[in-house]
Amino acid sequence: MLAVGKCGFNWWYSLQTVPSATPGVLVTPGSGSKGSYVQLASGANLAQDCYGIRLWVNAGSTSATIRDLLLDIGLDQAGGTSYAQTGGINDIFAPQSSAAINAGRWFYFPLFIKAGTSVGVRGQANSTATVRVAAWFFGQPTHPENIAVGQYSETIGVSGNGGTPITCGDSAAWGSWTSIGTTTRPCWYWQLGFGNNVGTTAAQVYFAELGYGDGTNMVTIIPCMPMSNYSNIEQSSNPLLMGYWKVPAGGTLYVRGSATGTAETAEAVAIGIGG
Amino acid sequence: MAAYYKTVNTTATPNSFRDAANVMEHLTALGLTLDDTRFLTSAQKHELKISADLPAGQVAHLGLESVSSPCLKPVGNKFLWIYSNISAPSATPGASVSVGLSNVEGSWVQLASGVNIAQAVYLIEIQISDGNTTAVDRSCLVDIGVDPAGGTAYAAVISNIVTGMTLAGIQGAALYVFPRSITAGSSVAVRAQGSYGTANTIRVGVTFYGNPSNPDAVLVGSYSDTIGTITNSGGVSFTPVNGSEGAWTLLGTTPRALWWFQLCAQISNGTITAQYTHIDLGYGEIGNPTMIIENYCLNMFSTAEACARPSHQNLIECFHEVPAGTNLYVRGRCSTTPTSGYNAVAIGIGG
Repeated sequence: MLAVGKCGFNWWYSLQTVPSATPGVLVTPGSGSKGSYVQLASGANLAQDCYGIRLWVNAGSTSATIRDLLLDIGLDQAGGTSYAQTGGINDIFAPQSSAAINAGRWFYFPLFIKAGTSVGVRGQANSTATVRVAAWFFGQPTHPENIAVGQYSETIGVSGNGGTPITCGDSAAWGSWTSIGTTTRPCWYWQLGFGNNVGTTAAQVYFAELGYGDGTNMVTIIPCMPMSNYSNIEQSSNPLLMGYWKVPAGGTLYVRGSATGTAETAEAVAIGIGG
Repeated sequence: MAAYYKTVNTTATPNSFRDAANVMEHLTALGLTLDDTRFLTSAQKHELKISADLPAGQVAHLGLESVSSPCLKPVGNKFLWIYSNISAPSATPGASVSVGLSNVEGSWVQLASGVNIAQAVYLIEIQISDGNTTAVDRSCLVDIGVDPAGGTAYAAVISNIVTGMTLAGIQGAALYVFPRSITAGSSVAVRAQGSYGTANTIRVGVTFYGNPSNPDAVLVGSYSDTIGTITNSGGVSFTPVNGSEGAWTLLGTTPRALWWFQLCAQISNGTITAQYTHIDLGYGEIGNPTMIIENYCLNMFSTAEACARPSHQNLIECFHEVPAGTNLYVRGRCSTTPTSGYNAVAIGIGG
């Protein structure tokens, strides 16, 4: 959790303006490759400079089926549909996201996007089964002198269509810290994507933690992020937890996990914001 | 505010300014020129080419007297101390709290002892779950109480969080965040009041944050006000509209200046059809209020009278400086003909 600072937003935009059981745009991932972009905001929609993006990933699960997912946020600064990953976010790991009614997966990125830019989302998964993505863009900070906003993102831990394998502890014990990779640039804000990539998950809750250090002497950037597997239908959710810690270039990130019962294979990807 | 200095090499190397107006302002003040404000393609996107009216190879230092540029990121904070009553993953997170029956306050249940609160608290995160029963109106109000002496003489510091019919914890608890101070050594408890006349419980998890890495940049309040008259175990009634925004309904008036808000809503009805509702919280003039929280989701599904609050609006959109004597309003838009019984309060933090 980030501390509350003296700053709010006087402007925001979202496609998600109407209450719905299926919020967000429908995204069809590529199977083993990147799918096509779907627009989240046009250049006209992004009428103000954006200081933060909130994502709600939902309806990306199928009972008894592995549903990996990596999402990209692409930008076209000309306001068109020629999205590119420059300045965007790569490989947000959000597997088996539950139906929206069961919370889904939430992320927030304090990333600057210039007004007039159009924003799209695309996916890569182990199939072309669809997922829904809602996004909110925040701008016009009430106290810009008090807001932290980054200019680039860095993704750590991607492997195939998912993340780095993590062996979690059983029965509320922690597993070992597992290195998921090393930063190439300094980052100061973090989001953790954590989930299972197995076709049969028990109904249980995991805790996942993102840490920085040498594997023994660790700073926990995101502590005790819950990830729930609802019922026995392979639906996962995680709340929005924000991590702040300055990790220099060359810093190694670690993840560990804990399950209420017998842990299934898990994976993790971290995304840092810097600049 | 802290001064900030950006070094600009005058050899036209792209620099990482993003706000052209701000760069221009300071370049002009220093007698420098900006020769290319275009946003570049490929790897140079977001960057501005800057060349100064100085010989090539020299360096200009742009001194910014205030941190008013979005280029800057002076604020960042991590809480270095955390205490939670959810110490391990659980399908039933937190403490079980017996709800007071038939609109009477229940007993205080301790969530943290004075020893647990080893540091001054800057932020309280509370999650409430497991509060529904099929075909029953389980409207619910939750108070957070503190005893600064570390005992059990609790006094409510946050009152009447309207949060009925919460989902099971594994499905997603209702989450509320309050940047309100609690002194180290205090004990903290909750109590609940419900409309249901039969014994029932909710689960309450709480996490306290303290020891911020950058305390000067943390905003923490010293009081809370609940805006909205409480009737039985609910807040102020309002009526969402199917397919369009309902009318703004007055919650009440801020008795003191407030700067952080949580929207707390429920449907007090024992038979609720599946429906998805967006609720807005605004302040100011009734015809044209300023939005604080827009499209807060209150989603009822199936026929289990369970209410999902994927309410991460309660994390990002909450800061608005509202003076004392200001009216607060709510309104709603529903995906279908709404069940009767919607009610809400807003809880503000100030000081």
